[in-house]
Amino acid sequence: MNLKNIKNIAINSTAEYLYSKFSYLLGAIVILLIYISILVGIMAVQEERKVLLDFFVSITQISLLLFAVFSSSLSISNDIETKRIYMILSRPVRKSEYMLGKISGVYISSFLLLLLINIVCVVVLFAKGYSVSSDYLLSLLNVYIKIVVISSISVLFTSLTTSAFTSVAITTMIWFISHFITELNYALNRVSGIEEVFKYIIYVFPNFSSSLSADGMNFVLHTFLYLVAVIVFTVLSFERKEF
Amino acid sequence: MNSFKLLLAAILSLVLSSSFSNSFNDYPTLISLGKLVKDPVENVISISSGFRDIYSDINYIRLLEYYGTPEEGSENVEYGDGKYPAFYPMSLDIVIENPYYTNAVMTSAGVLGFNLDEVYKAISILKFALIYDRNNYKYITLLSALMIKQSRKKIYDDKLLSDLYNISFEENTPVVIRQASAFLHKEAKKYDRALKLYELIIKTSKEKSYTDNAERQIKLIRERYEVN
Repeated sequence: MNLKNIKNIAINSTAEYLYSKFSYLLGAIVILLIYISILVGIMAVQEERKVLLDFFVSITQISLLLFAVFSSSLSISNDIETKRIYMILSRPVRKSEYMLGKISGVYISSFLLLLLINIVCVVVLFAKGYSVSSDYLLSLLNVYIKIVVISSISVLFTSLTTSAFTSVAITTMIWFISHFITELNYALNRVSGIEEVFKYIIYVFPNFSSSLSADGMNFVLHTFLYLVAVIVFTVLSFERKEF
Repeated sequence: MNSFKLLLAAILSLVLSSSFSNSFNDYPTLISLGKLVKDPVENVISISSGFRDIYSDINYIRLLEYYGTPEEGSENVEYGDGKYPAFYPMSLDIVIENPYYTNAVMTSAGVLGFNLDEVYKAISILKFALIYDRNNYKYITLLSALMIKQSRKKIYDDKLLSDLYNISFEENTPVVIRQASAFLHKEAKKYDRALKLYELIIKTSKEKSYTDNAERQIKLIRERYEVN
């Protein structure tokens, strides 16, 4: 495995994602949402700080989710549709290196976007006379971990289906189910018979209903091992593809 | 062969990851409590999309708006008085959504117990929140204060009153709790503390109705009980 190839593809992908029209559109939406959060914060009177912090974390989450899922799905399928992938793979670049570079590009660009959004959010907080707590930073880290996992899942389904639309649809469904895991567990613990199989199927999904603040290292280990599995599946499925 | 080993490693990693997955919920389970909330679909969407906190914030703002609106057809209503039939269901929504939202739970229970005189409902809100956030001493103290009020025996527990007094001076304590605390201290004939609490309300609250009431109470305590 050539790390230089992965690095080059990652840097190119990061630039491609960040300078895309979609990220500019997302930037405009984020500014609008931050403005709305300021207005909503005023309505919460004494709870303005908490409401602002919750809104900022949510804005970061929704914008990173849209960015990561669409970027990872569209980028690879665009490379295939425009035949650009032949140009890359005709050089001494392995399919696994291409895939790891693309995934790393999504991680790096998501992190940069997170930084950009939160620089604006922190400026708004300071302008309002509020400070940034460690809980806020922990929530952002939690959001970033979830985005890393979900974008990897998105890449996995793009590599399996090569259709951006299918990948986005499946990834969105997984995002919803993953936040509902403990609720589903509760329900499945009350069923018997053939339905009990679903108790085990649920482990195919990442558990986003737990969090870094609630479960600490368990959450980190769970997401890390899950991420490793998803990346390996992605590389293996892409290696088998014929172009 | 290499691919096979990788595939095995991936499966092993997936299995291992499930052993670190927390299957216990730190929040109320909507599947069992869904019938209690006003709009279960909205609740499910907010939880499954990962926006629990922001949804409870929005519900809290809705509650404040509802409570800040005078009843239809009523005139010359004092702020905080009146009948608000949807207040309890709206509070229940918040506590089911997020029992860790301390100030929203405290405000809901405080208003129900002290302003709307629905003590049983206030106690039910607090007891529900305490199932999940069992070490939240603010809930415990408010619950105790409500129980004192409920007993109507004019017996005031000094320790609980002291706890309530100390909590009232914490930075983020809602004004409604400070007001309740001041009232309880006045009723318990602890006028020095009641005065300090009313002074705190004047100093920190942005709500004119609270500051006006605090000024009235300070004047009353000083004149009637000759306390400075």
